[in-house]
Amino acid sequence: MLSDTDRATYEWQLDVPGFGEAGQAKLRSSTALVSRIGGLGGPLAMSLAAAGFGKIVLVHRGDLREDDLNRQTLMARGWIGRSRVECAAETLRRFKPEIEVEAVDANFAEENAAGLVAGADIVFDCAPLFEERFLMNRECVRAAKPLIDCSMYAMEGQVIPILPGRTPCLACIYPEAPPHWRRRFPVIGAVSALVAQIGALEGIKQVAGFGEVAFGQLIAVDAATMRFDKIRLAPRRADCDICGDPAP
Amino acid sequence: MTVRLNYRGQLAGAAGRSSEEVEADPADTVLSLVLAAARRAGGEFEAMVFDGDGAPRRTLLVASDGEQVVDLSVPVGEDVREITLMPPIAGG
Ligand SMILES: [Zn+2]
Repeated sequence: MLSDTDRATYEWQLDVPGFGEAGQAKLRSSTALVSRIGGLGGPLAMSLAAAGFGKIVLVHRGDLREDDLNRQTLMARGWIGRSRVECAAETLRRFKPEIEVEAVDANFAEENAAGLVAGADIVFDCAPLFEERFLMNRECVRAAKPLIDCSMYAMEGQVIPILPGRTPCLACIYPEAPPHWRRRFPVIGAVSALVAQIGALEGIKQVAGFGEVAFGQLIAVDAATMRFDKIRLAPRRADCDICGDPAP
Repeated sequence: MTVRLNYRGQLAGAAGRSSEEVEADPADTVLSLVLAAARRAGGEFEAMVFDGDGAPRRTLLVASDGEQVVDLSVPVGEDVREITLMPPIAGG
């Protein structure tokens, strides 16, 4: 049920074909979890707030540094040294005071994984480490929650929408962490923001129930050439450690 | 026939280019094209694509004309235009 404020705020997007009041009401009653509020997670969370999710949980440990400011657009130079997740929450609350924003100054880890995923209707993975990504994937499979895995490197980005039980999970696609991944990656903020918008849209469509989410596919964008691809992924692996069929 | 090989993520940096065109026979396996590419590029590229035993890394995603190829021993086929090698990325 939309309030008068909701109707006034979202008037222009209620007209989007297939979305309407029903889609808006679904967003309003949904909780999104965004892990890591960096160059990707920040703009993604902002777009979820703009679209009207009822609650957004931000997960990120650490303080703002000067070298975050080429891409982390929820921040401000004067906030260097402050908790990044608190800064992000402050920006979102200022933008939309009616949205509940929860800031968790910790990274996604064994101790908090189950609780965080249990409270969410959809999870957005924007973490720079595979260990975190695999953990989030495992918890989403256990809890049967949709996961939108978003990542970038230099001028490229990937978004993999995952629906446990129906699509391959992250461990089906990548059964182990790649040994060559380095924590520090090349990034222009506009590229991470571009990937963020693709991820946000996949999640908005999934929750609001309109359009076509690219489940079972990997959306790849190369901003160097502005080429967009959808790679059709192989089916879920029966022997996947995370989502595979139980041993007889 | 000519097949375009695309290198994504860190592989592009290791190869020094994001794509190249190679001559292939429809009966060539996907693996043989990947192996030849790794031999040409050598060093870091080879280590990112193959493990210490010479087996393709399980983390390498290979796609042929937009379809993931899991079994790299299959022939590339007659109509293939491009094969894309995608290592996982996690920048966020
Ligand atoms: Zn799986």
